[in-house]
This record gives sequence, structure tokens and C-alpha cells, in this order.
Amino acid sequence: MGNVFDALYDVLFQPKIAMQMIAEQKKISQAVIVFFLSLVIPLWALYFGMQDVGMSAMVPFVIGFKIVSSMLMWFMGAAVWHLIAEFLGGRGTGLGLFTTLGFAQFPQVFIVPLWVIAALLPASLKSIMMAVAALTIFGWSFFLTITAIKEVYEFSTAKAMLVMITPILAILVVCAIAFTFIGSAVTQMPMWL
Amino acid sequence: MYKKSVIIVIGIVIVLSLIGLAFHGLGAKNKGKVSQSDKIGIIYVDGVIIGGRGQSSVLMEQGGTDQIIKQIHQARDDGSVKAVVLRVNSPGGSAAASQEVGEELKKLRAQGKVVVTSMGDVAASGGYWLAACTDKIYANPTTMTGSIGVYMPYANWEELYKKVGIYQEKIKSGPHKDILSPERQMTDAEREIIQVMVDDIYNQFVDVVAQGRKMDKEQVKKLADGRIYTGNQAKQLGLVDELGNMYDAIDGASQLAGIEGKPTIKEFGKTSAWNMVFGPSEKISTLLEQFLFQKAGNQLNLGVPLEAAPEKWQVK
Repeated sequence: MGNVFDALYDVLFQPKIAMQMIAEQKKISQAVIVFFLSLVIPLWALYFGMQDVGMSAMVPFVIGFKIVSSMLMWFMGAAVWHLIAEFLGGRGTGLGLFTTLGFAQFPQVFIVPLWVIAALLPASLKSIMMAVAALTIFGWSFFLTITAIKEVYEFSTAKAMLVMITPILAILVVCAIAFTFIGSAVTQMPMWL
Repeated sequence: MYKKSVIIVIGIVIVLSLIGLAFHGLGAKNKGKVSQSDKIGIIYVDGVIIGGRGQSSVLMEQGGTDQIIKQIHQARDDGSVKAVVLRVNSPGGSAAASQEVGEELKKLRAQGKVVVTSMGDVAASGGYWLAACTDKIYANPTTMTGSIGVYMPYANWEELYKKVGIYQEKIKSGPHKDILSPERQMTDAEREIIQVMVDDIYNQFVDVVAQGRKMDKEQVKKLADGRIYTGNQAKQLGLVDELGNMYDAIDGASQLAGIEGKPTIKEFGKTSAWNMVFGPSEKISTLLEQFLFQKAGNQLNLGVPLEAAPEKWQVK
């Protein structure tokens, strides 16, 4: 896997080998380029999609939010998942995970050609095709993220999934506790109505 | 080499898709021969017409006739805007604020822009004042309009104050300085002063309607006894030109402005994403209106509201 083209090909067609190599080589600059391409190209589709549905006023807000949240997710996701993986006995590096997660976003560029194909379809099929495309891309990126965690820390699929969903579970637990406390506080208040 | 070729092909497909996407977007806009240069501006007048800057939040201001006037100026300065549709959904409000906006609408017309009114649920009193200042009026058959008239509310709470034990004294610079004070009975002289003021504003209102609708002043006075009309009745009486909704008004404005094809719509004062997040909310607007027009009651007497005021003001 000498250059970025080889890496991208392997990410698409041999993800297991690709993630092993990327984690080993830790080519951060390539990961940054791939991540930004994977972020900017779908934004193009998002921009025209929002224009078409008359949400042009929301465009700067949504695009700004998408850019900031994606970057935060990349950095914070790598940090949190690395910590959890280490707790679970993983031996990979944080930098390795960070690099592989950058490459794992690459399938998102396919949203543009899929959107164009959807736009050419009859109106009744257009929204279904868009939904199917979005779900496929999401599933593909999810699969690559799991593969990245698996290969970086040499985990089983189940353990990799546990690493991935642990932060979500933690947020849910915190929310449940918060709601429980708020709920008990509210029920103790005098009735005003 | 094979891997590189595959990725290059994928790259080409994506670039072509990006270009196709851009063209598809433009293609969609060109459907129906949309005119890109000639625009129709839409300015919304919602709720009670009240002067000033309206509501303020930490980062911006919204509502109040200052905002409407700003939008009228934006439409005036935008060369691509050939006509403006004034979408009125208002029961009226302050006479001065209505007059201020009405005068700006006249100036906009004097600049060569067509101004057409589209009445929503209600466009009465001050709302009709604005409509009368435009080139053409569209109303729905069930729109509530008319209410051409003026009144100044006055509540006498003297007996209540006595029961509660409130006795207010005032040191006045003149006999009429505390005119319309709620804690005492109005004198005949004061009633005469207020009546003259109300009549003066009424005559100004009638003049605006007569001039705007090209009607005889006496004819307007016959209709202007303060009653409300449905859009249908108003059409028969000549207070409204056409029956139709906002899109009919847009088409009418387009024809008057000589715009060929489907016009591009430009909404002034449209809520931006920033405004949605940081601007004042609708709920605050309602609360503000409730405070100003129901709770504060007679403290707004000097604002000289038109007949849009709630019944609660008319304490007898």
C-alpha cells in the first residue's frame, strides 16, 4: 500500500487489510486529506438538496454545524474510543485509531453520485432512493469504523462494537439518571394548577 | 496501477456528479421560465401594528414598524425587486405607526415599484390603512377587513380605587395634564378635547382611504362607521379590488409590474438560521402583546390606538 490511491482502494474493497496497514503506517496527512474530502463532497449534495427544498436560510447553519460536529466527532471519538479500548485490554495506539477513522469516512463521497442517480428517477422513487443511499452509506461507514477498531486493537467484532457503543450507552445512562432526579424533584413540587 | 486506475475512475465519477448536481439544481430553478432578474418582494405585516423597534433579544431586534420600514427601504434599494406584495394579517394598531408605514409605502410607489396588498385572516383598521396606500388590494372572501375608524379607550377606576383605599393626588402644570387618568371622571371639556383629536385622526384615515381607493370622501365616510366587512362585502363596496389569496396577489403584482414568466420571490424579514436560534421567539411576541395590550391597559392611551384594541379596554 504505497500511496493514497492504494489505501483508498483497499478501504473500499479490502477493508480488513487496509485498516491494519493504515493503523501501522499512521499516515496522518493522508487521513486528514481523505477526511476533508469525505466531509466537503457530501456537503455539496447537502447544499443543493437544501436549496431544492427551500431551506436556503438554514444552509450556513447546517453546513457550519456539520463541519464542526464532524471534526469534533473525529477527534473526540478517537480519544474516547481509544480510552475505552485500553480499558478493555486493547494494545493499539490512539494515533492509529485516529488515522483509520479518517479513512473510514471515505464512503460518504458516494452520496453525490447516488444523489444524482436519485434525482434522475421519478418523484415517487426519488425519496426512497435517497433514504436507501443514505442508509447504505451510513452502514458502510459504520462497518468501516468497527473494522478500524477491530484491526487497531486486535479485538473481536463483539468487543469492537462494545467499544463503539459504550459512549452512547454512557450518555443514555447519564440522561436516565438525570431524568430520574428531575422527575422526582418535579413530583415533590406543590401543584400549581 | 490497477488500484490507482479504479480510484481515478471513482474520482472522475464523483467530479462529474458534482458538476451534474450543480446543473441539476440550476435546471430545477429554470423550470417554468423563472425570471432571474425581476423579483417580487414580500413584506409581512403580522399582528398588532405598533411603532418602534419591537422585541429585542441579546443579538437582534424583531417586529415593530421600524423593521417593516427597513424592509420597505430594502425593497426600494433592490433594483431587481419590481413589485412588492404586502401580506397583511393584522387587526390594526397605533394610528401613528400605521401612518408611518403607509407613508413609506407611498414613497415606494413613487419610486416606480408596484405595491399590492394581500389580506390574510384579518386586515382591519390600521391594517386597512396600509392596504389603502397600495396599488391593488386582494382579500379572501372571508377576510375580516374594514373597521375604518378611530377610538381612544378610557377606563374610569375611581370607584374601585375608593374601595381599595387608593387616593392619588397630582400637582399639575395645567388643568388637562392628567387627561384620561383612570382614577377620576373625565370632564366635559376633556371629552371635547379627546373627541376633536379622534375626529382629526378619523378624517386623516378617511382621506387616506379616499385618496388610495380613488373614492369620494363622503362615500368613504358612509362606509367608515367603524364596522368590519368580509372580503366579499368589501369587494362589492369598492374597498377591495380582487378576491384571491397571496399567490393571486403575487400574480397580480407580476402583471402590474410587467414581469414576464414566473417571478422570483424574495421574502423580506425572512427568519434566518441565526435568527431562529438567537432571535426572539413567537411565544415572547405573544407575551409582549399580551402585556402591552391587555395588562398595561390605559397606560397606552396616548398611543391613540385604532379600533383594534381588545374589548377589555372598553370599561364602562
